[in-house]
Amino acid sequence: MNSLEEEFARIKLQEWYHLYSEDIYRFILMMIGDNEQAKDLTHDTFIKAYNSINFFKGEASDKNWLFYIARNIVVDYMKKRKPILFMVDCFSAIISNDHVPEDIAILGEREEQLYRSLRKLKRSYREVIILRKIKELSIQEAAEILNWSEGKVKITLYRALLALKNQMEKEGFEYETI
Amino acid sequence: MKQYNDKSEYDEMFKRYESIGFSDKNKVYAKVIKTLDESKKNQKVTNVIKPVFSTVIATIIFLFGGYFLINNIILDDKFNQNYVQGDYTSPVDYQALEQELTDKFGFPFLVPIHETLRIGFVLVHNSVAIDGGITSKPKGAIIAYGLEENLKQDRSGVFYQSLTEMGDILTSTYLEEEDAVVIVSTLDYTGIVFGGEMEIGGESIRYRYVDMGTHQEVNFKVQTNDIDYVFIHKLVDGNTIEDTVTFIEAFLKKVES
Repeated sequence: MNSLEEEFARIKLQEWYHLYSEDIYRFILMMIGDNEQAKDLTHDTFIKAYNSINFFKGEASDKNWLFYIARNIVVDYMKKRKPILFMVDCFSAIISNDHVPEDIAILGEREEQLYRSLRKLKRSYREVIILRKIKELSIQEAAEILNWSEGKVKITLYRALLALKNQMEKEGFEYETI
Repeated sequence: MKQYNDKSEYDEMFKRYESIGFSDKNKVYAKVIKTLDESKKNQKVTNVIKPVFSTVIATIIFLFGGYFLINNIILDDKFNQNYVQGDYTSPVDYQALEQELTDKFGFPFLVPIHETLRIGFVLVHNSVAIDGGITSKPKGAIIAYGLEENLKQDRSGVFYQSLTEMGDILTSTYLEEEDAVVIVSTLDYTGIVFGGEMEIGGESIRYRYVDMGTHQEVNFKVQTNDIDYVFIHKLVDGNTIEDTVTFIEAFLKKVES
């Protein structure tokens, strides 16, 4: 990068960070359940975005591109931390013992329980629920980030929500409409 | 036509997660900028040092490589110096293990026998139903091999506990995650591209390389009539591509017989 490109990249980075860092942080936190690690991976996401800025052709939105990078960083992190656990997590549910981050626990008992159940779903189910239902991205946006077809997003989300409901019921949580 | 609808009773709860704050937003941003500045500084230094460093490294490789070649390969003809040599007997009775796996899966299950590494754990992972529940139907097995010295009896470890929650563990010992050198998996790898092709034991075997950050892995997919076996080899000290090929060749002979 020459100095002009570098200056442009820094301005872009600042803008992206200002606009999307909270979204990216929450996405990572929901995926890995660790506040401190989520901060580190958010940092890594923006460093990677800066270093890859020349490859960003504007085909996806800025936000989607950042989510795409963040998702890859999370997957790499999981893979490097525990390759065997990651391998099984890709194919099925892991019964997770991970603690619930304080930020989530303070939202309330129901949110904590929902999060615990979410953590027990396999990774693809967790990802699609977080992107579609929590981040409220469109089907097309979720498909871009996950590198899936829109049809796959729909069917996986359907199955994921069913699995989540069953997991909640299995743990004795009955949903009450307020 | 039926309208697509993915509304859920948890939608309101989902939205509340978006109220989680990013308390250290400014601190993390400062760290991002610091990292970029440092990397720029390092890049400048690297540009100056690189040619000198390359020459030094090339000289060291030449000297030590020559020494290693003469001492360890030409004179001693020993290949795997890092492995404990000897007559290995698996901690599990292979036949009994194969029978147990065959009974669980309902078709002949062959356990690859490694000449130098011992089986650290065998995990049978059960299928997950569409509703998220764990069924009793086995989905696949993971067999991890490692050095004898790394086998453990103490089962209080976090890793071991995580494994017990994923399925049935069939061995009497176990390996920590990082100590597993070779893993054979029969999980479903549909959709994962094994782009390369190599001739092993007279058969064409598909393979792929995977960058794990700290090391490289090579995965080979061996297809049999009943099941696909994926051989995952960490390319770390003492475990080379030749070891992988030997292991797979032995397994192919076992399949044939």
